Amino acid sequence: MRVTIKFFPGVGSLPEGHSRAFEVPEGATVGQVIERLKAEAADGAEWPRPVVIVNQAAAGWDTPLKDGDEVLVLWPLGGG
Amino acid sequence: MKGGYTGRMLFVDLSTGSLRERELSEDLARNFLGGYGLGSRILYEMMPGGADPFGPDSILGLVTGPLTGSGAYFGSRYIVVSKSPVNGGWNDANSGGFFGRELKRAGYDAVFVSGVADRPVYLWIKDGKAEIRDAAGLWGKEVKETLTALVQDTGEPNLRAAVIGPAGEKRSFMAAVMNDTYRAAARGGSGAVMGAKKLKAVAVCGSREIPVADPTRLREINHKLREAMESGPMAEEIARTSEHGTGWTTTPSALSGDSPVKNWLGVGLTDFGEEAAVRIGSRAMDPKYKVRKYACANCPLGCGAEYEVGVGPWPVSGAKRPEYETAAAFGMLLLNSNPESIIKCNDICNRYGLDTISTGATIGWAMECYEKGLLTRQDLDGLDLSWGNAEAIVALTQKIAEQEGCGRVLAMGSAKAAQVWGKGAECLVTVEGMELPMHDPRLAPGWIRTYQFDPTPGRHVKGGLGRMQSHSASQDKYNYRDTGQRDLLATADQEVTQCSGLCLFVQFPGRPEAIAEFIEAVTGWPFTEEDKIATGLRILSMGHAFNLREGLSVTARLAPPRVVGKPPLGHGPLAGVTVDEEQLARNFFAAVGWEWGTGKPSLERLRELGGLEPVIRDLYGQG
Repeated sequence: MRVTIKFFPGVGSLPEGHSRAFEVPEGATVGQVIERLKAEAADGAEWPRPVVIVNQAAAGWDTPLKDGDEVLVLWPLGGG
Repeated sequence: MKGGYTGRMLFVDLSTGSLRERELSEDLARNFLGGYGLGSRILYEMMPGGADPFGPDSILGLVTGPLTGSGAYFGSRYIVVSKSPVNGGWNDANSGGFFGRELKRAGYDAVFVSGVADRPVYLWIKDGKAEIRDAAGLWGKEVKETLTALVQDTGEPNLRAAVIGPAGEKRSFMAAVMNDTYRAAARGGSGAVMGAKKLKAVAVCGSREIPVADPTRLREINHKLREAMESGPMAEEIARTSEHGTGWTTTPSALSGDSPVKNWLGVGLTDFGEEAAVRIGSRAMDPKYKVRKYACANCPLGCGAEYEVGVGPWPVSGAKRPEYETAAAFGMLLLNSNPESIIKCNDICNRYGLDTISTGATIGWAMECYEKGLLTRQDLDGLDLSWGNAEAIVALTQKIAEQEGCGRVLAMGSAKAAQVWGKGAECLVTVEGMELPMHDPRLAPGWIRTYQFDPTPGRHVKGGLGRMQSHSASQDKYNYRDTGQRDLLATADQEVTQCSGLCLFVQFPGRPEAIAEFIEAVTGWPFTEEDKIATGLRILSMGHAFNLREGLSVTARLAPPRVVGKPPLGHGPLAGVTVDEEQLARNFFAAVGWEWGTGKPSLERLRELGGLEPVIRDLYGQG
């Protein structure tokens, strides 16, 4: 199945608003997809656990994905 | 004392013109550190309960901490303390820059001002000598002009000053105390208290060394902190904040639900949108407007920047880059995606000395009233206050700053405006009259406990569970069981961080132990984790006791229903969320030993904390 991921802000080599579509196995979870992206980026950047939104609804690390999902990966910073 | 303090406090009575010094005892310093800890203890002792915030009995304090100017990284802060004209309760507001360090170099840990001058004055302190000077020529001036005039009047080009702008002179409830041009101790109306005293400025200059007990250890702690900043788990966020300030968080916060949208009724993803969220983030704005970056004293991060807008309807020069709170308050909250209007509103607030959070939030309230027909163009001097109308937002900000037309009423804040106009109470998003900051408890429930029950209502810089929940994917944050002790620990930690004179960004690199280490190295006192918790709770108790003495019905502070999802949002990432704010509060009250219903701290806890004898005497009739 195919999902799209966007990052706000970007992390490591992935810029802000960077949208990337890619194939993931059936039943993949949000956490698995993010871990895979992190491994692929392999630029040494730390990835604190982000807030994740799937199709404009709140999602967690264990949320299963389905074909066509749009995933927003957000690192807001409490305070500021 | 071995280090961290000058050991002297200055007391000024503007009614009589008297100035006197008082020694800061080690006992008082160890129990309350500085900042609003020391400030609340002094005001509790010297200011009678029920005093008019604008009257002669009211005391305004400018208080540093032991780490302010000590050379400890992030140690630049001072705190303005007073009784708030907004809710008649305890108020503190903190600011960075260079003023706090310079006050200590000039010879004082704190300045407390009582009385009311019969004409505009300013206080001039140089190398341990203080005098009250005439400020007739400064009255009416904007913040930057005031600083320039102070340099001319004193002949001292290196002075630093905490000043009020026209907003403070006219006693706007949203008036800030400003320092180092555009740093603001903004919240709670401290600028109005200063204005009521006819005190235009406190200008300081000094060459005294701030003593440090163990300079070698201090350097080591700084070094470790620098290493953590550069290669720790938050290195990327820190680098981004150094380059883009807090404004980079505007974009993810708008989309995650962290930022309130459309006076807390909207959804960032759909009502504001990705494109707008990116447009008003500082990563998009910096390439167009950034002139240079700057930092506060002793700061290795440097989150500030100067902006310039050369063309368009709102050209400005020497402006400050909007912080996240400002961008959210004049952006998402008003559905305004015009970055130059946000820069302009920020600049107006800075020049006149206004709190950007309360000003933006008050305009948000007016916009909702306008949409619902409660306020009309006639009420608003002809302005079309439709959501996102950037021209109207700038025009109304200017009116509030000048207190012109409808701005006269709105300058008193949304709650007072609703009272004066007799409408719009249902659109208010305030706790005890204080507008709320830009972090949504529906995303991070812990914020609402802080907004309701910190001694200062509606603050994003005070302790609690919200900050860590705002950037957490864990749904456990909606579990309301057993939050009390964690809430207590986070709160105590924050009290100590602030009252020691540190910026909250010291917590950023992920070395929480650095705070206690800094205090030990600078003061020479042992300061364990247990000391930190006890000190934090003692400080919290002091501000809380101030409110109890004022007769505030602390536990009756209500959360605005929409902020806790009553009713819940119908769509978006926070759809269906309703926060159990009462459970969060009950857990916290139980943990800190405050009785539910009255807020009265238990005698046992007060005795255990120590140093709170005046509070025990007032609440329990024993010393």
